[in-house]
Amino acid sequence: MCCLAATALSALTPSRASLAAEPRTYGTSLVSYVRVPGVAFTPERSEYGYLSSGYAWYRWTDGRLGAPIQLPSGARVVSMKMEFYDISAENSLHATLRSCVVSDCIDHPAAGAGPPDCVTPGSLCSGAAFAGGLASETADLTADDITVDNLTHTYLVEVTMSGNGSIGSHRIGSVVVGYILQVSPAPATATFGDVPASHPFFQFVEALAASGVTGGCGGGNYCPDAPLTRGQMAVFLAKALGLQWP
Amino acid sequence: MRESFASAVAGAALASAVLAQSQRPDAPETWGTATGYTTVPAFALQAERPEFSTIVRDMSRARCNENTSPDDEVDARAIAQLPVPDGALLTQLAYWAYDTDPDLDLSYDVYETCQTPGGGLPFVTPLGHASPSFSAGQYDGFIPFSHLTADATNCAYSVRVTFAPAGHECVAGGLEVEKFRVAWVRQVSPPPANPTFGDVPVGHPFFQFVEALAKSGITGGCGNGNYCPDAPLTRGQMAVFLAKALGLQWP
Repeated sequence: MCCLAATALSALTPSRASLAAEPRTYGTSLVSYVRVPGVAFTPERSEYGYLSSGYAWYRWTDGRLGAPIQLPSGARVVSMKMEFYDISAENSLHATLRSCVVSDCIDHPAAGAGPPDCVTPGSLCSGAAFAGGLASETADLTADDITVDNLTHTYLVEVTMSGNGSIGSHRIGSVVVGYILQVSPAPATATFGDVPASHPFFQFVEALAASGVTGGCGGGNYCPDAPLTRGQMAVFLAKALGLQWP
Repeated sequence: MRESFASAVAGAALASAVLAQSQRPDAPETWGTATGYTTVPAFALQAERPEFSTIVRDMSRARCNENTSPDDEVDARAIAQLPVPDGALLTQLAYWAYDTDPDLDLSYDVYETCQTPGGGLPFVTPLGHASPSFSAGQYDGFIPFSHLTADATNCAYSVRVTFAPAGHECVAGGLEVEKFRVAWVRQVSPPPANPTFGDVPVGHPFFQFVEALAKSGITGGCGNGNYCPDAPLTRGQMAVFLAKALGLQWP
């Protein structure tokens, strides 16, 4: 019985080594990851590709598979990784993170014209090609510096294949997008009289104010040097996280 | 008559949040109780009846290619999931589309699908509907929600697009969906009936927020059934609060 209990406990408290595979969601220095599994990819047209148990694969060349991806607002996308299987020397897979600009369609209605291409190809992350592998391969794609903006963009991952494939020659295990959370740059004008633009904490206090986490201490001030009580801390944290329970 | 998205929401509380944010497009909020967004590309749309209607997507839009049901007797529809934060107040679903067909209009329906206590069929609630009449190209609009708090623990949220009602063939190219965006606001749960800590009773100004921390496992109080709301916070205690609140992980 003791050993069963120990096993259950160890499952709840993973070792540092096993934590390495866990996603890290918070903070501003570590890279966090969103993994898009192969089964999340669907082809533009159903005849272009297949889903299988655990991965997606191509049937014909020049087809595109895509999957929507949800990224945190304000995060900086820093990397893409494609985990795939490729036994063809003639062709290769390309993974690209696409952004579709929402605001273009608000600001520039193209009545009478053809639908504008809201996608900005290649502007988020450069595609990269891999070919000739005999087994599964992993390669990092270097992304441009992109800050996720869910107000004005949608995001999806696209995988294309060039050359002539055969059934099952190219299989997508996952595409992994890495990002780092950021604190917004400081605005031009200060919200609080006692935290002017020159204040060392200006950027962070403004971030809390813009996010609705704090309204200040009254009188148009924030009182940055006032000591914090445990009660005030509770208000800050509960609002910041939008805490909910059943 | 259809109004533009911007003018239709002018004057509403949400409009100021939307416009203010668009002026800082590189700085949307992730947390806090200001307005946040979930965006869904049209590529997420899947055919409701794939054996009868073919939905063709590319990276910027989705359309219905054909309806192969006898006499087009089946509605040609597609569905996409709408991921939203648990407990957030959902305020609207905005849509962007393209329509040059004078006879047909796209229509949109939003649904909440919840588990039924004790088992049985999932419980589906219609949350909103729009069928804007349009035939001049690009258009956008939105479906407002009224006092809708997302229950992502028990429910899923989805949008359904009807490309062609029964009796009509799909119009290839004339009706296209481009994307969706859900606007939401994070909330703090209303306070419970009974207090957790003796020194933070129901009438305490921070009652709701201290209870939120306790329910979330972020604090167990300061001992003896109290929270010590007026005690100063040390930097060390601050570290514990933040690390627990965010569930901080590192390699």
